[in-house]
Amino acid sequence: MSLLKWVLLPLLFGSMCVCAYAHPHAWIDVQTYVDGEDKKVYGINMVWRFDPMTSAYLLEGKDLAIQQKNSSLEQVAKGLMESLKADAYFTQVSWNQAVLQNLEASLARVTVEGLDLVFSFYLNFDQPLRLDEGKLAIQVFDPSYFIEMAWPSPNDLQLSEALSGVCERQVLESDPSLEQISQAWAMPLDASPDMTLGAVFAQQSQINC
Amino acid sequence: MARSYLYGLALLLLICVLLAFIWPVLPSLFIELQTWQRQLSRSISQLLSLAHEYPLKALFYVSAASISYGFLHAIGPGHGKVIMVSYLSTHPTKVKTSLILSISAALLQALVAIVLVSALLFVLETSMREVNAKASYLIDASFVAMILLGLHLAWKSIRDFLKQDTKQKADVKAHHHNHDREDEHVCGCGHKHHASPADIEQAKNLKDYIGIVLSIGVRPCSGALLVLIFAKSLGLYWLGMVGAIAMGVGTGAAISLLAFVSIKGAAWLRRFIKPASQGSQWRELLLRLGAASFICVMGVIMMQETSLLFSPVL
Repeated sequence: MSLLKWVLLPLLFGSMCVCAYAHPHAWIDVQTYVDGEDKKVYGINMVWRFDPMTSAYLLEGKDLAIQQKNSSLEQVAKGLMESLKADAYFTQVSWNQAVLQNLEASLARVTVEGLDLVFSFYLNFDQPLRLDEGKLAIQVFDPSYFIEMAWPSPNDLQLSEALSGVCERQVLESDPSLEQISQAWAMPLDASPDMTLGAVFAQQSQINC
Repeated sequence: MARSYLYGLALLLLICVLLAFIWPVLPSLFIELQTWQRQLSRSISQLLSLAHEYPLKALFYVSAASISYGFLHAIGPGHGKVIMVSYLSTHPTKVKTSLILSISAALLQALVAIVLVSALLFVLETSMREVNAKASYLIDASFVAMILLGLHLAWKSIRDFLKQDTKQKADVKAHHHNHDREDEHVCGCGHKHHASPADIEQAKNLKDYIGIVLSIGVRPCSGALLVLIFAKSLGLYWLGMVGAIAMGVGTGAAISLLAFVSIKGAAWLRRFIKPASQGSQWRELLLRLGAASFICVMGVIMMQETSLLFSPVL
């Protein structure tokens, strides 16, 4: 009956491998506000709420006494902007299924609300997107899946008042199949290992007019 | 013999059916586990932040939440479980021993986290970013230890196999010889002979056990690091230490459970194999080599991953 052992043990091990990869220890609750009017979208406003432990990590060593608080928080915001730039601000904006490159971020701001650090910024498109000519899709994720990012409720993706009358938005929960999870795991060892993992677990969104 | 094959086949079918049911829900189960973990992490933070006002209540709830966090975190398989399952399912071990192994490995994880954070933050007065970087060295070290453990187990299984082989041949030759000398009472020497075979087995495996505990335990528990860093930022380091140890207890419980299942499962499977059947030594060797190389391979794979606790982006 060694057959049994040969089959059962690898199965057991295999199922362990599936989950043995990185799992996030940091979380961001995302709120997104799509800015535009007349079926034209100019940019998106992001509000990211970090979990308390990550917030403490980000604020470590910063002087939060009243006099220094503003400049300290400005410093944190600046640091985040700089390091997020290389990762396209963890935001993937697709226009007719093509990912927009070189989004520009501005108006970075950090506040502290209770235990949470709240980071907000504005992402500007090169030119306004005309929603009657194409489809807009937004995804927010950390490709390395160090951080899990999500809109906690569909209402956290908001259209501006001028848009919401004529357009609709839809948030789809991620639904990774086991194959996708194991594919993400089984990537070649020499490729930087988990850079597609975040996308597998990311929510999808669509904005149509 | 034919009957045992039949049983095996039925069992295999049963497992397939079960897997077919579990397979599709695994992803959502996985996501669900992560949601729980996120909620627990937030609760622990909130409880810690209330500890200035309600120290006793906070102590109680932080411990409870940390034990659950440790338990849940350990259910999602990691390197410790790879080592435990591989070893225990191929090396018959006492349940009690496996429990001691699981719990000491998990507590060592918590202890390593406490020592690391205390040394860096209080003695060297460095920043948490430094803790983040240094922890990744220890995490890599645990994978190196894992590979070494795999090599050690492989080498041992080959050595045992060769020994058994020569012993068997020698036994055949010596059998006749022994009968001649029966009246000389060769066996009346020192008390070593009174040690039970289990004791001897235990002593022989001590190296394995130390290797297992070290390779699991040298990796600081990531949840413990987080809770320590957070507690430090609130000026409640002692409560962070309580949380870290409680997480170790939770992790230990989860690993113990897994260890118990591995031992019982392997013992149960062994019943289908006739103990002295031909080629059983070969099979044992192959199984042990398989387990050893699995530990090695997993160590190598895990080393490829970034082992930072916090994203370098932050």
